[in-house]
Amino acid sequence: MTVFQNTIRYFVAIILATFVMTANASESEIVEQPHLRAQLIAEYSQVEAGQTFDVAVKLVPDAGWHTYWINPGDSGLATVINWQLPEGVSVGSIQWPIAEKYNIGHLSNYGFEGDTYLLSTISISDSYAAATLPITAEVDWLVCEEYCIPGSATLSIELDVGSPQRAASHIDVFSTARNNLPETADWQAYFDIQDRQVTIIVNNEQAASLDNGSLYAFIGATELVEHQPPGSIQSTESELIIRRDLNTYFHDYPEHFPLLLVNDKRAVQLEVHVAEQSAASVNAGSITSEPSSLNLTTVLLFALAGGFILNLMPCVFPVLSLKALHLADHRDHARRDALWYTAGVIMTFVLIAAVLIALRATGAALGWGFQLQNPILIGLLALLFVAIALNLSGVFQIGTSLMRLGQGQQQQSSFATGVLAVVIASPCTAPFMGIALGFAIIQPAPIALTIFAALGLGMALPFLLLGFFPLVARWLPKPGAWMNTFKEWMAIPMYLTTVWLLWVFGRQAGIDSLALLLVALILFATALWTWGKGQLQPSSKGRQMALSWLFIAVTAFIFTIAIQNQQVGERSAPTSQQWQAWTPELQRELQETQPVFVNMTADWCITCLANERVALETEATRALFAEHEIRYLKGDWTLQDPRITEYLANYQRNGVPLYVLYWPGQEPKVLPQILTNSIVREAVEQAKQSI
Amino acid sequence: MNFKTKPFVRKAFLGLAGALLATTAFANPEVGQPAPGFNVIDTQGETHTLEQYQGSVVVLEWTNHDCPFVVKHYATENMQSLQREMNEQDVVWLTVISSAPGTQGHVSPEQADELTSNRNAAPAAVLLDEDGTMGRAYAARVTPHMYVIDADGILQYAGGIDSIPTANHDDVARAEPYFANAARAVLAGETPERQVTRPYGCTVKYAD
Repeated sequence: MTVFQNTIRYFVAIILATFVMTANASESEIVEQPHLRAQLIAEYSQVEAGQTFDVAVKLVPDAGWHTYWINPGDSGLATVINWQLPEGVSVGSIQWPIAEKYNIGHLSNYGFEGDTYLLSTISISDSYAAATLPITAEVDWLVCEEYCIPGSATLSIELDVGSPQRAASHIDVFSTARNNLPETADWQAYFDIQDRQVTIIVNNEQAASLDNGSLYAFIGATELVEHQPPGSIQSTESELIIRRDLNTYFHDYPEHFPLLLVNDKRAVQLEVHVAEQSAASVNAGSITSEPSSLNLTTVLLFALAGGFILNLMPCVFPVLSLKALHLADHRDHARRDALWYTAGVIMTFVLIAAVLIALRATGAALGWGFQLQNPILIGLLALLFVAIALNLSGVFQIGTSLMRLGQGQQQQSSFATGVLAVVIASPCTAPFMGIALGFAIIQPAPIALTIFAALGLGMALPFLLLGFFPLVARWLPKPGAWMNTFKEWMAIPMYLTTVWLLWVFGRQAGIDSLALLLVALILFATALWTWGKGQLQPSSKGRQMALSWLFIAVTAFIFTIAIQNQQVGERSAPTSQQWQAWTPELQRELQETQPVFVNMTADWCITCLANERVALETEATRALFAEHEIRYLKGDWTLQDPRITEYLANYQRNGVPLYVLYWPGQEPKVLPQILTNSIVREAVEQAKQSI
Repeated sequence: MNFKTKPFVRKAFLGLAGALLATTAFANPEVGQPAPGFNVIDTQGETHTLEQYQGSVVVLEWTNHDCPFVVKHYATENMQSLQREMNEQDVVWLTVISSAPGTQGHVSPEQADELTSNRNAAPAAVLLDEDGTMGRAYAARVTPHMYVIDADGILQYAGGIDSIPTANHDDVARAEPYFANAARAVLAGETPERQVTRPYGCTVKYAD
């Protein structure tokens, strides 16, 4: 057939199509074009204002011929429908059926063979008043077998307006059409492009479960991925990870595109969005640098005020107010007591700061409240708070013996109260003192220590005032029986603090450990209660004491199990266990003596996450690292840590991911940005051989 | 440190890329890199190589005269006028046919010359790449698929002829002429604004 004949044929067909007679009908004439017949069909024969309903463009290509999906692939052309609708009537975009993939040599196309229904939803406004609804669809397609023929048809229907009536003869058509549609899902999915690889992560358990070996991912963006090579699909429990080669003709980042996941059982379509580091994370990143522009005097004043406010925190106030009353009661030692107390508070603050700075220097990424990241400490604090609370409730006494302490011991007692005040203040300071402490941490050691000392001074300030200006004590109410009631009421915030500690513990160690800790707490409370009974009944004191020691022993036993149980839990969640936070100091220290693998990552980097899931935090790589005693350090650039920015710059990078293997006595080796287990293994083995 | 890490990166990446490409048999050309060499005979039996055109801007046009997308650009005289514009500026315009014998678009040397004169086309030569070697080297996917190579042999443009991927003749005038813009930029000694665009058209009918 010559070009000329073909052209004549199309021409005649198009003319015919354009002048097809339209009757009031819910289906158009069938337009015959070379290798394809087209028809417009409505689900309803009669519709009403305010209604939405579906229409279908039915394309029937000859056997072996196909039309194209929204992304046609390496060649071809997606079918386009231009609608002509009366005022007040609108139409949605095409709901594409489940596509198929056609390989033609090295190239691939996506499309549909056989009866193809392109559904669109039409909405009629409430104010639509005409007696009929004319609908015209101008359809342009490309139909191909080995070669391609473009075609078009103008398809018209006219529906009556009245009470809605389904077209009985179209029920099968629309049920078939809907059976051919993929399910739609709102699963979260993001993609990015690194090293000419497109990585898509779908965050959903159901998506992950689609990966049964027969899954194919149809990418609904043209020129994003190479269509012919299938790429790789991997899954974890809750994520589906798709990797594809970037298309040679890739030019623009799509903001989002449809992703059609098809296996032998299900077909699901969802929307994938470009992964961008959110504006929020960039803003948050500047917080750390901002306070450094504050001058030192301001910061010290803030620290002083902050320390003062600590006295009002619910976990500190009960203990301190009692101490204040006690001081007011013993005016003779007031100054000395106040000084000893202040010394205790400041010393403890400075000590904590010193430990913090020392730990920082060794590279552990810690902030204030780091002690709260340790579940053992949280558990012990919970026990301490229960003891304090029970004491305040009057279950047992500790004061009785303290009353008889000599002068020297009195000083020690004040000092100890200061230490205790700081320890019990720490759960409250963590959430409230963030920024000032953040500032202190990034300062040279002497300045950081000064800031912490100022905090301590602020906290001790009320007592200093009491001690040196006895007049202040006049404002305090007179001691009396009310004190006991007040003391018992103060137990309530202590119990509540315990609840908060238990919550933190539970989040760290899991519900099983939490239950064990609660058992330990009850046994501990029982021990204290029997202890208290012994204090009240001197006759049975020995027996009660023995009983309470027994309970304490059991408490310790249960507590140990709770902690160990928690460690088992952590081991089963390897992502939190396997790596250490990167700092330049830690890396430098480690790389002298042993191999170090550095992973620079960020929460918003899809490629990074995919690499971690499929190549780094896998059994194979974990075993590999263990075998060669490789330390795995992870730097988190989510908030654009300037130290990491500098590190990246050293490798002429301005973004993540970056993977570097350090082997003692060798130059650092940069790994590719797209990792697999075997790439990591090869890099390690190569490094090992070249020693 | 950096210059030592680079070869490793390249090696590792090539290893990975090689593994991936093993299935595709395509070595995809990259803009900004030297264009792949070729050695193909034209309708007169003369051999053409990229090296012989060193110093000239070269345009490659993949074609298949029965492809509706090719027809769109010849019937509207768009392709011919581009060929003339380029000829005036001493550009070497090579039309390439990679259709295998027996497939759409495959022609004898005589038919090819006839098509050129019938359509009033003005390529420097029509290359007959029956076995698809040159097409595969350039990863030519569709007809028309356009390439611009600068006088230094660097690939400066690869992609579609324009921005509207249809077979509708009316769209030629409406489209942004990606290829023409790129060729004009290269002739002006500039880097084209868009060096890679979507190649649209009919699949090149390669021999399997």
